[in-house]
Amino acid sequence: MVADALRHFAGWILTLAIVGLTGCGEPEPVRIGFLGSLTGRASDLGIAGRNGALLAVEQANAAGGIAGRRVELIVRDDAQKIGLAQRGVAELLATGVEVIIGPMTSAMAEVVLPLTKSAGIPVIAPSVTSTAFLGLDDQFFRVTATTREYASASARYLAGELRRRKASVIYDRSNDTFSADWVRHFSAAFGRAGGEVVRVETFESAADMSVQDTVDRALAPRPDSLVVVSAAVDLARIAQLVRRTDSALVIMGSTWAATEELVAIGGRAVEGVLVPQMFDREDASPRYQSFRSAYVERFGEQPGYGAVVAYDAARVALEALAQTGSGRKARNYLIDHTFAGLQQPLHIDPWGDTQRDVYMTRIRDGRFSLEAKLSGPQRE
Amino acid sequence: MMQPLRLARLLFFRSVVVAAVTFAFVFALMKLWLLPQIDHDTELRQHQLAHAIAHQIEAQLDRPRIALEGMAQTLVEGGMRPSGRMSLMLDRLIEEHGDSFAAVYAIGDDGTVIAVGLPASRRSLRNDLLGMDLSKHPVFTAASHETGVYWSDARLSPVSADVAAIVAVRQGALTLVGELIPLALGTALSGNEEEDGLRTILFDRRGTVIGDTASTALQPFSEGGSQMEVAAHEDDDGSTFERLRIDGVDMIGSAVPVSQLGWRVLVVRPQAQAFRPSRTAELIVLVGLATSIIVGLIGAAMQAGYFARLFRELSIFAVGVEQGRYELSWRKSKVKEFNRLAAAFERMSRAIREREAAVEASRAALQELNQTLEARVIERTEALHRSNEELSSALENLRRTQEDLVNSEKMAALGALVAGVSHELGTPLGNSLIAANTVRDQTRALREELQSGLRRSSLERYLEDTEAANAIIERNLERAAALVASFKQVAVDQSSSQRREFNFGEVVDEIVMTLRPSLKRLPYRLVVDVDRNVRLDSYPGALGQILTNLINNAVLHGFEGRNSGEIRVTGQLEDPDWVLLEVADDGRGIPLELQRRIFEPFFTSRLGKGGSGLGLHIVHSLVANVLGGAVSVDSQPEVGTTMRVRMPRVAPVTASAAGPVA
Repeated sequence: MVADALRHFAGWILTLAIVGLTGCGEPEPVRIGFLGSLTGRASDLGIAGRNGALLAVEQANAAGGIAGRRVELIVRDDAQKIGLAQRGVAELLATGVEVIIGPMTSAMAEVVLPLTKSAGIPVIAPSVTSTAFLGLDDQFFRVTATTREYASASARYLAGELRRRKASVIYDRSNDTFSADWVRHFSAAFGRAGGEVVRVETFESAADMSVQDTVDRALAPRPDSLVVVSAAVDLARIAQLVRRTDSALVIMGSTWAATEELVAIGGRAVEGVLVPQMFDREDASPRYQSFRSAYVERFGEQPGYGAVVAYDAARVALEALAQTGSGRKARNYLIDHTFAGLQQPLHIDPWGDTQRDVYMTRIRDGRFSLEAKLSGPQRE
Repeated sequence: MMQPLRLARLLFFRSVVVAAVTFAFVFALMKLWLLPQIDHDTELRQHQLAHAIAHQIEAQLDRPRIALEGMAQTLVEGGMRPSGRMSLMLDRLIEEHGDSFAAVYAIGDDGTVIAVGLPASRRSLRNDLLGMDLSKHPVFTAASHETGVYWSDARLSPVSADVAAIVAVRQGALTLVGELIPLALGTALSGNEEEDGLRTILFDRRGTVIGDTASTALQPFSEGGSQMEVAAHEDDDGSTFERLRIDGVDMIGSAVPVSQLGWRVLVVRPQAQAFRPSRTAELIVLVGLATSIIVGLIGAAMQAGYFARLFRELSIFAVGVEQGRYELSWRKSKVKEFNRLAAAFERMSRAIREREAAVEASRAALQELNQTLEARVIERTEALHRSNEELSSALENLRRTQEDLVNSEKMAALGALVAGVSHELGTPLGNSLIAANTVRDQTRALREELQSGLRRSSLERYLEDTEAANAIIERNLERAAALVASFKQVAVDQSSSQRREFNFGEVVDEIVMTLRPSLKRLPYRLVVDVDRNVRLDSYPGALGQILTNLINNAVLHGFEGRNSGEIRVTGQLEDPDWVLLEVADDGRGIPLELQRRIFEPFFTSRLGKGGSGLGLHIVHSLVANVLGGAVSVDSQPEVGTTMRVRMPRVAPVTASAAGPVA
């Protein structure tokens, strides 16, 4: 409207005058986007990731920002829905973010990457592990190992350390990119280690259906172990159903379920369940402990893996931006570079992928207890 | 001195100044008083809205709480029932409060789910949920501590697998847990918003978003968080008003705690929209001011132009008057003063015209007068010229006459001199003649005796007589020769006017001697007493003429009609350089009124009796011009007159010294 235009014009003149008078205004903040599921089934991971990234950004701002510029984290919720993820990415790109932290799941990464590719800015996915994105020379980076490393290590541990030979698998189709990938690599590695996947069952977590039938089918071949590739809530439900009839069966989850909610919802039913972890909760290093106490103080709960990897991802992004000044130039800095991760050095290879240790944990007395550190997962 | 301004510009600038001052005043008033008030009202309204929403949420949350409490009461008081029966009761509860609960489950003392109430669409999940161990669940651990109601933060629900708020009621050993439908919160929040970009966000204790009317996910809300720009103030009930930045948009927000839950309602709206009333008011005032200023300025410019036109007309009129056009074409103005001014101008113009006519008339008269005057002046000038010529010729005549007179005076003096000389020479020459005649007679007598015989005695007598006669002749001739020499000197002096060095006394004596023969016949005495040691370097001729005139004057005028009198001529040095010559008589004296005029030419008391009237004038002229001195008169009637001549011992060299008269 004319009135608005007039006022804007006056405002501009005033702003110009003020900027002219003071000689400098507040510099434009450095914007970093975050995309993750803040609502819905995967929101535990998304919220943890958002919290981790936010803590890293807040710490950077407390330390003076990037070259005197404040860092602003712009958060969008994808709710694990394709449409929302697309809209979120479009909105983030519109606000001129230098880099995007996220998404948190492989399913969303499939949606997001085609959109960000043309924008020319790096996308650092904290917890996307699917091998579907492995070895691509693009703007996609991750600070974790891939599903292959985690699934293979889990399979080797199950077959080797626990001497299981017959495994049934239940996986959630709603995050097929991750779970099917996991199942594939697990089956291959388990077979190589002398075991056999005797049954693969699936369910749709979003369907509000009972998983009783799925569990029954999976247990029909009487396996000596059950591998569940699902979110924590579903692993808890499945474990609860399994334990009604079988208290001895070895149940193993995936990194997806390795959140604090698993224990809260699963209770006694998830006691003894094995879960591979991307980080070591019992790490006593000052670096991790200071992060942990800052996180607890800031968000009132213990950090989960989502928080840890998102914190690492944000730190990597901040360092790259601080060194190069712009998201578009950050790529060359990111690739083939080693960053100081919270618990271990993170080397991003020329394809944007990273190796990370696998921590196998067992739930004991309502806590993740470290069973073994499965380091050096080699590519096969 | 400043460059004078044009009226229009002056009025315009004045208007600009007035407008600027007004603008500044109104603007300041608006900025400092009106806008803060409006903004405060806006903030207050927003705050009130946030409070209203918080109350609404509380009221909405109250219903499931009351329902849950009632159910817990029923379950506990009715004694333990089989799980299936309880689940059915819980199903009914959910159906009754279909808009509130996503699920309700009863948890036993050990944390095991005893019964689950679900909406019809989800009942197939019941089997999965029964027997779940929620003993580690934070809601259970928190609620199991005490009897009563516990509101959780947003948690991942085991049933809906979504983030949900949970209300737990502990009654005896039973804990009833109700998962609130996120949508329910949404409806609680909705209805107030979307207008004016208002956005309501519900946070739990940890700052997790429980409900949001906008789809954009917010960052955790907490005091001192990075997006908090300003925490403006905090009220007693813990509500705060703050300015924050969400996704690069400046917002104002009112955060109000939802009392029982420890949750907070944050009502935000973009600052631009929130302050639209004040911005609109500001804009209206600004536009109004600008309009009034522009209109005022245009009006001032027009007014100034109008005034300038009036003044221009008047000044054109004045110029017209100056050039002789007296008609003022004046349109009646709206301004009384201008009409008055125009009327005054007109009157002035009329007066000027009348006065000009009068001046013109008098000028014509004057011109006529002038012309006749010129003729008259020419006439008079000619007359004057003529009389001047007449006068000149008369003067010339007069001068010639004067010269003649002077010459005749000189001739008279010379005549007197010759008479005196002749007289002086008469005596020695007569004596010599008598002696010579005597000698001739004696000689003849001797010759006759010789013929008759000469006797010795006769011869001796003859010789004696002859010697005596010879001596007489010799002495008298010598005297005659001396006289002639003396006269000769006087005559030369008189006629040649030569300057020389001479003895004052001798010259006076010589002059007096030439006068004596004429005085001898008169009964007056002339006494001379002059210092013989004084020598002068001056004009003896002039001195002689002066002395002669003065003595003659004394004789002619002072002693007129008298039988006796004495003239005393004295002369001595007054000081080493000046000489004083006085001619005093004891005659009639000169009347006082005449004393001033005696040196004027042609002044005479003996008019018609032979006086030329030039005697004393010549004296005055000679003393002043030739001798370089001064003559004065000191006279008392019947006592006598003393004429005093002061002159320098060395006369000044002057051109006029050689002049004939002077």
